[in-house]
Amino acid sequence: MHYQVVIVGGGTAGISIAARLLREAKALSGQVAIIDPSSKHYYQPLWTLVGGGAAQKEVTERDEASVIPDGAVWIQEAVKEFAPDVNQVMTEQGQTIEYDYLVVAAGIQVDWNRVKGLPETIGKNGVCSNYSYQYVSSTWDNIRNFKGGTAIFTQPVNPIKCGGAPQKIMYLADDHFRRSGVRNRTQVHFYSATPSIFAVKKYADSLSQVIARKGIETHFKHSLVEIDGEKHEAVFENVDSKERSTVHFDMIHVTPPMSAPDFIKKSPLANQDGWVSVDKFTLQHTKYANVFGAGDSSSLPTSKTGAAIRKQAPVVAQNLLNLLRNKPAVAQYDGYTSCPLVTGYGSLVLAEFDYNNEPDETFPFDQGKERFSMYLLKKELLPVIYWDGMLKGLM
Amino acid sequence: MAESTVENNRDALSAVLARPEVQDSLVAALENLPKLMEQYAAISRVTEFATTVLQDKASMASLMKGVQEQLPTVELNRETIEAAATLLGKLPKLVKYAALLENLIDMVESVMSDKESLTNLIDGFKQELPSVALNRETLDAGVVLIGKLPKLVGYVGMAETLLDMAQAVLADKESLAYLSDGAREWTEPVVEKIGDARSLWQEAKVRAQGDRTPVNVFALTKLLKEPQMQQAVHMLKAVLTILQERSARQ
Repeated sequence: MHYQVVIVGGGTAGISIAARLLREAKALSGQVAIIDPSSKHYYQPLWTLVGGGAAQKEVTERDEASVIPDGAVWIQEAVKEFAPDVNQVMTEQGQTIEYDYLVVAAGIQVDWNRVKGLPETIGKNGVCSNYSYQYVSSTWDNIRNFKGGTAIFTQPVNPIKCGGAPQKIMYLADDHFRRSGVRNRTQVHFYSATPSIFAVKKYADSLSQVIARKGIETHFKHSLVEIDGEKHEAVFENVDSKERSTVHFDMIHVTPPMSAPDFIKKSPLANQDGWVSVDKFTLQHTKYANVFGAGDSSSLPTSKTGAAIRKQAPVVAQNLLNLLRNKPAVAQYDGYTSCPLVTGYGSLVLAEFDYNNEPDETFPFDQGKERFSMYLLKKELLPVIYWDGMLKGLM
Repeated sequence: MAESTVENNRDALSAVLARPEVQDSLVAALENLPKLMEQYAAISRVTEFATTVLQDKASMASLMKGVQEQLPTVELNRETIEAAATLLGKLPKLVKYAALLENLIDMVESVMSDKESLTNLIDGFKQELPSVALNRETLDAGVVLIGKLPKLVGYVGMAETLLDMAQAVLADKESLAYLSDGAREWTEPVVEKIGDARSLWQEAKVRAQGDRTPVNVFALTKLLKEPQMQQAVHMLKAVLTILQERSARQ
């Protein structure tokens, strides 16, 4: 089996790139293969609002078949191995697929088992998470049924998808606790392994004000390492001193550790941290010129978001087409990424920045301020832009 | 031997001079002679003047001073000398380009003023593109349009993307349902409040129309004791007090 272009991953990056390639070069019809075992495709950015009870989770799920672009061939299998020296990809089902060009956009792996006791208790005992379609409803169940006590929200040390999500759900929960009249008998704690609330100073300043206004207690450089659901206890480790402390909780929203998918980690395409090693500007592999990487599984030193992929996809598509036409790969990605930081029901700080952590804002007003308009943008417009713009290779 | 040679030469010269085109040339040269003499005299005068000036140190000093005052200060260093040398090296090429440009402009001017050529050109286009009404206006517009094409292609690309996106949204029932649900969610509370206010007004209107009991002091006193009426009267009182205070300040 041979295709001119093989794309590993049918998520946001894989589908967007395939759609762009097929729009730009009609001759590639039937020559672009997407390998992905999943039968469903999810719009994950809305899971924050689902966990906060402001959106239905069903609207975030569609059949994968419905998003495969016309002209692309969907191979519904899981990749087991890469052989980039001979331009081959092997699947779990035993197929060998040859390519001229390869795009690796396999997403990120959620490692629930890296927190001791978490797999056994997630979704019950007051332990919830927005980072799974299966468990996102448990977050709303915990928030709306909360009667007061200690509510904890966590963020791990390694790169995760949507770095702002762990605190967004905390702001929504705080808002709901006030509405339901339990906030005055509730302590809200944010335990984060990161050293600050946000990497970009402009938005960090805004968020610090939000945290102060809401009376949230922050504990930076603290990583969740163990959880006992039945006892309602969580163990945190100081990332510097390695000192451990046990904390009681009545509800805890866990952002699980994440890493590159295992089949990438052990492949020749991976860098030392396991991510697909690509040039941060051209998104071309650092060793194999006919291989590109985009999205969460790539080594790009930027926040892993769908918005980042929106700017990466055209670069990969353009550079790949350039190589196909014997031209140099000159298109460049500047590290743009965006994080719509929901700060409550009806307010949002729209952070947009680049590799240098410099704000790179779209709108002609100060996006560092909390705005209702930006909340509407996230809740009502971005899902439609995603399904009908990004995944069609248009935005 | 020598005599015969001179004789032969004389014959040959007579033969050349006897040719009509040579005689015509000679006549033309003789006719132009006064003009040539004038030009020669002019050149002689200029040369003589230049020689005089160059030999007159006072005049030269004055002239150089004037030139220095008129021209901006030029820093004569290695870079400027090299730049000047480069420019001089390019001069023949620049002169050639200037000549080519001049020729091109002349040709365009000539074609544009040559009605016959223009008509032929337009007729030629008409034959090739019969449905297009080609005249000078359309040609001018065509030239302008070609200049704008790169920009227009960009706009067309953007419009195409937007139209494709609109088409995708319109064909996507799930997205349409999502948008309409979202709109309903935000507008429903407002619509409900408007509906409540309208029904309250309607009900009050009907009751007021049906109430034929006389309004007396007792009824007014009872009405004034209603908490909402009390609040409204307090509000009115406060507004009047504030208005009085402000007008007193002014």
